[in-house]
Amino acid sequence: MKKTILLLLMALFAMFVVACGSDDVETGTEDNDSVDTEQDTDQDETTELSGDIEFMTIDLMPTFEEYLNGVIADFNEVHPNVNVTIRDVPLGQVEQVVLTSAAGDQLPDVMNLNTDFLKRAGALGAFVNMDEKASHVKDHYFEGLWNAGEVNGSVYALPWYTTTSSMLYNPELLEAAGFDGPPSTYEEGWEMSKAIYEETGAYGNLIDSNIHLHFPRNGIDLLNAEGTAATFNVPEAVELWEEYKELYDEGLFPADVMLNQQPISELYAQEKVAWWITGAQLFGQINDLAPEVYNKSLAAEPIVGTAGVTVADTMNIAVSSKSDNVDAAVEFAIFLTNDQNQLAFAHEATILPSTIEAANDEFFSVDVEEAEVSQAGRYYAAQSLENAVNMSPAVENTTEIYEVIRQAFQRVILEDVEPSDALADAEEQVNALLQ
Amino acid sequence: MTTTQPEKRLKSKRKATAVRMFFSYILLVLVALITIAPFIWTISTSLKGPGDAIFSMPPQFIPSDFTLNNFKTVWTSLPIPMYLINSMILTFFGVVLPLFFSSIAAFPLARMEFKGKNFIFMLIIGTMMIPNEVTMIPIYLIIDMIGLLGTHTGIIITSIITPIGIFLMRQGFKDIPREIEESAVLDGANVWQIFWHLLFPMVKPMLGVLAILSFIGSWNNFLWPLLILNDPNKYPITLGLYQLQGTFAANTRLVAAGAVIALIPIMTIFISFQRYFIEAAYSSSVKG
Repeated sequence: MKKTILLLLMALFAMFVVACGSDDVETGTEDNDSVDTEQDTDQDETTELSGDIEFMTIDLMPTFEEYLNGVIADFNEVHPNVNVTIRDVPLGQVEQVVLTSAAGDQLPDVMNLNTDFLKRAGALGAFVNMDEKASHVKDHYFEGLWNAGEVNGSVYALPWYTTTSSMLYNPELLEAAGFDGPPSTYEEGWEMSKAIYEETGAYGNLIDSNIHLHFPRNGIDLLNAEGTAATFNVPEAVELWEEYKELYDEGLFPADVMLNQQPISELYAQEKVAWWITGAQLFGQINDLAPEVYNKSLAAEPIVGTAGVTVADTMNIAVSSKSDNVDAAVEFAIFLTNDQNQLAFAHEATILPSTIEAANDEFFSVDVEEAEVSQAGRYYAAQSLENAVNMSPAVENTTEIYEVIRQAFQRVILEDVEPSDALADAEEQVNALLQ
Repeated sequence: MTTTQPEKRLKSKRKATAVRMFFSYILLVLVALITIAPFIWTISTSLKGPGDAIFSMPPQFIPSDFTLNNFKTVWTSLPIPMYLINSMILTFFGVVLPLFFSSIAAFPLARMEFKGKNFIFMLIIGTMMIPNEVTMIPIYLIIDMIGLLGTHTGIIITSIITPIGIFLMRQGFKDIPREIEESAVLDGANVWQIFWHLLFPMVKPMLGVLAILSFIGSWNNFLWPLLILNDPNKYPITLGLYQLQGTFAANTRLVAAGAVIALIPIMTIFISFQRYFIEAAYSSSVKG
């Protein structure tokens, strides 16, 4: 008898739970729909934007709190009924936060995302199509940077701040090996690396985990224009990897950096590498790790490959397609990335703006002889903007493609696999990914 | 002659023991040094001024540009007391609730007879095999559904009952001789009285172990607070300190100072309860 009662109670409880769950879900959807409709009508009638917007930033608080609050305050002068709140997320956790909140329909309205993750999430339809919503401001941005947000033929974000590389170098290490200045091409760099390694035991050129970038830098396309097939298995690529294998066997670059187990900044701070090609915004890390090394360092133009181009790394601003206040969110994204606000941001951080007018401001022309090394670095980086290209292909699975290439290269270096075999294998895998 | 023989043996035995002890100590000191080195490095970094290199070869442990400014900067630039209070709230409930709920879940599994008991236990243990990444989104959705997103309760609720807690407490209850329970039944005690007044106090060592595990888990919890909370005023210290690590500025000295500040409460708790923790760990390991 007791057992029957217990079973009945359990069944009732289970029904209660199920009923509650489904009710909640249905009501939730209806609520959202009605909010959307109300919002749309409101905006159509009055054209006055209103509502709450959550703006997700990556690692910008509290350093840039004042700047960002200033932007929000200015925005509120034009749109007083829009309430913007900032949610700062650590770089390493961005994907987890975005994917989890997307699953719960809680995606922040406006999001700061890096290009590769943007493409992956954009392909799933999570973001507003900026080609449609922000076409009127398209001309304000550098074309190459606007296209950074492109996946499957549509652009899903506005380009925000961007960085191109410049070089930080240690003149003492160069001098010890008998050189007056840094190299300007990779070829020259490897020649100098040999001499520096022999004389001082320090490295020169390094190969980090972004081995896929070495293809476009040397004029080898990763994929065809349609993004349907790999195009990197060519004799030039085989030759390049053969050369790298020889250089590795001579001890000219360490496996730790290639495997992403040791940051180049730490090696540079310990004077174990003569130059570091990176964004000028990261130069300050050396000042933090080893002030003496930073004080004697100088900035120079970045090294280029045979294609003569440098990499542009862009942070993007995407708007959630499920936002309750899409129009206000898009308006805020445009406002945040406009000339004036990006120029003001460049005053605060060592970044480059993605809008043409802001980049042409006289603020970016400095006297490199006199300027502080980070400022000089940014000058060189700004100079390279016209040769800068975003090197991520306009397909959604860029991360997987890079991983295939990375692993193929690691097999060449660490397991003595023939470069031609490794490249053929990688080509096959990438083609399978693109199917 | 007959007396010196055992004496000699005793002496050589003592000598052997001394040699063994000597090497054991050297080994232990070495292991202790390796374990403690990162901690010393963190403290030393937190006391270094801008003129001192953090990465240098050989590592420099004693700061030449000694300063307490890093602590001052961390304390003034971030609301550390607020983060600490948030951490304490989360940790208090993150320790007390698992102790209670794991015990009441483990008690019937250890002391009662009913059909499917082992199956239920296996099912609970089986969930330990599912990686966190898999359960993360469903749990997030449940928390969203019950309206706890953005609250401390939403974080605490994810940790109030864990398979490892049930497993530990079940082992604890199983080790108590049946006779004790039987004598209580003869004295007319009901199930709740047996559990609460008799057996619960007897599983203290296991409660100690679970308390330590829950404490460490709750204090160091990073991902759940990040996913669930969107208001920085509710952040625990782990999340708060992360703000020192910006995109453009690598404030290693400040991060180290923050880590030292965050360690102080843990160290205080460990030092004041050291006796209980060691007792708990010891008795749980010898019980077998």
